[in-house]
Amino acid sequence: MVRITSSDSQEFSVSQDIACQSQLIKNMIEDVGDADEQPIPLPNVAGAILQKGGSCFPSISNAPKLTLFAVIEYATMHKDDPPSAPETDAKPSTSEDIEDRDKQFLNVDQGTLFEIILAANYLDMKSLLDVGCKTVANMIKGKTVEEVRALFNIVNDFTPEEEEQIRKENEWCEDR
Amino acid sequence: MESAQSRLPNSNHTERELAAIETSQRTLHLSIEALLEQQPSIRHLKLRPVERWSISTLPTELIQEIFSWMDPASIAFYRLLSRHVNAALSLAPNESSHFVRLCLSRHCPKPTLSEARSYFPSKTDSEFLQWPCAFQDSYARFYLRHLLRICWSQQLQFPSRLTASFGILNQLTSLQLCSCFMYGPFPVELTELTSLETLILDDNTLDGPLPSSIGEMTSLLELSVNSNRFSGSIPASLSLLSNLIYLNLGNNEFTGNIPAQLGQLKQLQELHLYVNHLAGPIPVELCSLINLQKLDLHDNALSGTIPHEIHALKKLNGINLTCNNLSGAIPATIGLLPDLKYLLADRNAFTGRIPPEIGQLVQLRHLHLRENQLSGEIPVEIGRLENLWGLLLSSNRLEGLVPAELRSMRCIIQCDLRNNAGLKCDFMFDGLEL
Repeated sequence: MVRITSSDSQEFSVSQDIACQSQLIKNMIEDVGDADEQPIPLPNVAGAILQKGGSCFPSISNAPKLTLFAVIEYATMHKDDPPSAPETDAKPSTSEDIEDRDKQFLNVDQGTLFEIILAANYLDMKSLLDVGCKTVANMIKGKTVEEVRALFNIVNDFTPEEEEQIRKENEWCEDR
Repeated sequence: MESAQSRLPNSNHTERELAAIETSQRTLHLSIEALLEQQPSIRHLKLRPVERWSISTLPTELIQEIFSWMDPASIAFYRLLSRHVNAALSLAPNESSHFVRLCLSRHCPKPTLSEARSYFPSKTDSEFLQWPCAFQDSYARFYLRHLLRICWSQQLQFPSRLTASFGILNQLTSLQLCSCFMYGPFPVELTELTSLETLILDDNTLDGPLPSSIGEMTSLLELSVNSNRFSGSIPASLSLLSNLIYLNLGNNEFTGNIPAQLGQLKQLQELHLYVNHLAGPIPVELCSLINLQKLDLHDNALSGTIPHEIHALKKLNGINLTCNNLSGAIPATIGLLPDLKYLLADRNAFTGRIPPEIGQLVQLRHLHLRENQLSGEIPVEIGRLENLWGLLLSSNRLEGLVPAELRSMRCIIQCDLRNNAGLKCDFMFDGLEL
């Protein structure tokens, strides 16, 4: 078992094969060696207080998942996956390739989704990072700039001149 | 997202002791006083600023990770989302950024080294012309570099510009993109392909001038841009293509004169400049193209005469001068072209007699001189052309008796002598129109 602690000092015990889906943790364990019993700190991954079934707010079914908890859930779900095959020439992966269980897992509010992506990036978990980014990409696909701004609360912080400049560049880019 | 207020347990309910509230991911719409009043058991209340992650606050590398899953054709468009996103997706051309490579790695399988791609473009080969130019450059560099030939004529479905990125492929010996819905200018970058032997861009809607640096493509054997909308003058620098065998600039909108320098193309076998707006004379220098077999200048506005020196083109087997403003006499020296099979010069302003020397052209199959101002008699020597299929001399000022020899020509299929007021004929045969 490996002990890891979140930024708010919550400690988790997870089996090594689950923890090592994080390349970061794997490298840490390799560096530190088995002998060390110290928990591994993850100062950039927040929120673990609801790890025991989210008992504080039991009535709320779609409560935001807390990041490290969620990440462990994902890692547990995928612990028996075959090691990812090296990119084959056959067919590139597309954003449509998301397993159903991952779709369900990532059916969360935006804030949580981005937290998971950040955590996956920090923890160096490529498959979770990819599936998270694919999910966001799919939310953007086919939408206009205005629709995407509305969806993600993005404030248009361009001056009209800057906006015009980009439009021109895009045109130029297309036209060369 | 539901507000946290709705999630807080009501103090009248069973759960009376709230131990902690996590706020880092939620917006709390509740005054602190009210909270403390409701929940007197709270000992510690940590209220960190609300960090609500959105695309526009993610680190650049994660924005790039997300957009790398989008279709490259749509990415540039989303630069308009915000400054931060724009900085992450900046697609300066000619810059092989991490982002572009990441995106390409998502969309493109590792290139197969198969020669088949030279003739049958892969899915991404046919898509990349729609991408922003930074992607096109990287795509060319990483996915097309090994190809020596790109012969995708009629294989591309979507209108696109002729990408300057092909200019990166300096190993290329053949680029053939006929009927590929290409529009826009001829990118000057293409002229950097100094190994290119064949460049065929027929039947597209390319426009603008041909760059004069085209003269640097000195390996070219075959250059054809037939049926486009190229305009401007024909670059004299074409004369530097000393290996050129085939030149076709037909069906475009070229203006100006035929550059005399083209006479330096000593290897040239075919020169097609038909259906343009070319004016001025046929330069006498063209008569030094000693390997020329086909000279097609029809449908232009050329004036002046056929140079006497034309007899130097000993290998010539076809001349088409139809629909120009050429005038003067047809030179007798034309009879010194032993391989000539067709002489087409309808709709000009030629005057004088039809030279009897034409009778020496034993290979001649077609002699078309309709709608000129030729006068005098039809030379009897024409009747000796045993291989002639078509003799079209209508709408001239020919006179006298049609030579009886015409009747005995073996191959003649069509003989149109109409509309020559002074012409008389005392016989008839199949194909003769008077």
